[in-house]
Amino acid sequence: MDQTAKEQNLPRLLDDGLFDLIGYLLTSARGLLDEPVEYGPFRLVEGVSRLCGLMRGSSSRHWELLGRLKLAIDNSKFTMMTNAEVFKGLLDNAVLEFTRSMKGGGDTDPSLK
Amino acid sequence: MNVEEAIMRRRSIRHYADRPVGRALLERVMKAGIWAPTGSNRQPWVFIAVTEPDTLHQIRVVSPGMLWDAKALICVCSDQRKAGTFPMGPTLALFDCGMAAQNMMLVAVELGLGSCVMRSTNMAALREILEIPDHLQPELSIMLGYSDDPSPTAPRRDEGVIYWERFGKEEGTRDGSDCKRTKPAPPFG
Repeated sequence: MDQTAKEQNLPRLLDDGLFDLIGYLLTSARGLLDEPVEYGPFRLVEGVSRLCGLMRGSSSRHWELLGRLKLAIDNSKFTMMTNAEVFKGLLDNAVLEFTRSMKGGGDTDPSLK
Repeated sequence: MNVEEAIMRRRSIRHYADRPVGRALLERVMKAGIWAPTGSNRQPWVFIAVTEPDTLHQIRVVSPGMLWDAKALICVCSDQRKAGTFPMGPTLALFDCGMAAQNMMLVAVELGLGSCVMRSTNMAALREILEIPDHLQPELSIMLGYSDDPSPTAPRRDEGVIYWERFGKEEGTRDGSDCKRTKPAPPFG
């Protein structure tokens, strides 16, 4: 294990969650070589949702934004298979919300700052 | 429940209630798979049922198509030793596994179980986790559990699907509403 990570002593839940996410990303990368192109954006946005969940569970200072992003993604991600325009809208809105938050210094829960 | 009802009710359930699926139910599901049609009566399949939560989670980690942990999973493998003795054998085995999977999912509906068939798995990783020998090829997996998934059924296309007597002559079903004459089919190419 990397020495820095050892010293920082990642919380167990986050550590396990990130470990699982590595498996998801690796197998997604391999699988996408053979799968429909539309699956690429879906796998990425699913990865974002999982990362938001992990960061929220670890008291990220971006807690509020991450919650909104995760909810929006999980509510609409399957439209990738049924309505490409709605899926595209989901991504556009998510990018915009993320950017506004970043520009404003991070949409954060004041108690976590 | 009759077969047609089961067909109409089945849909892909990806999220399951926190309730285990009993072994007796899984046995009934797999028995339905055994009774699927099979080319040349080869029965070129092996079904591996998984219920241990740790193993199910490991499978999820290497399966991008598995968005939540399932309560049970049946890995449908083709048996190349039974299938591969004539040129069309491997292809038929693939069809056979698909038909077996559909049988299993329909019985799952009757038993009150939700299911979702999945191919988006890293097969090498799955082979490693389930210790699948070389002569078996994992083809697809069926996730199972009690439904906790409110998502609606995906719409079905019926246009350009059903034809009568010859392609392009008469399209649709004969229950009235969607039976219609079609324009001549476009040329190929």
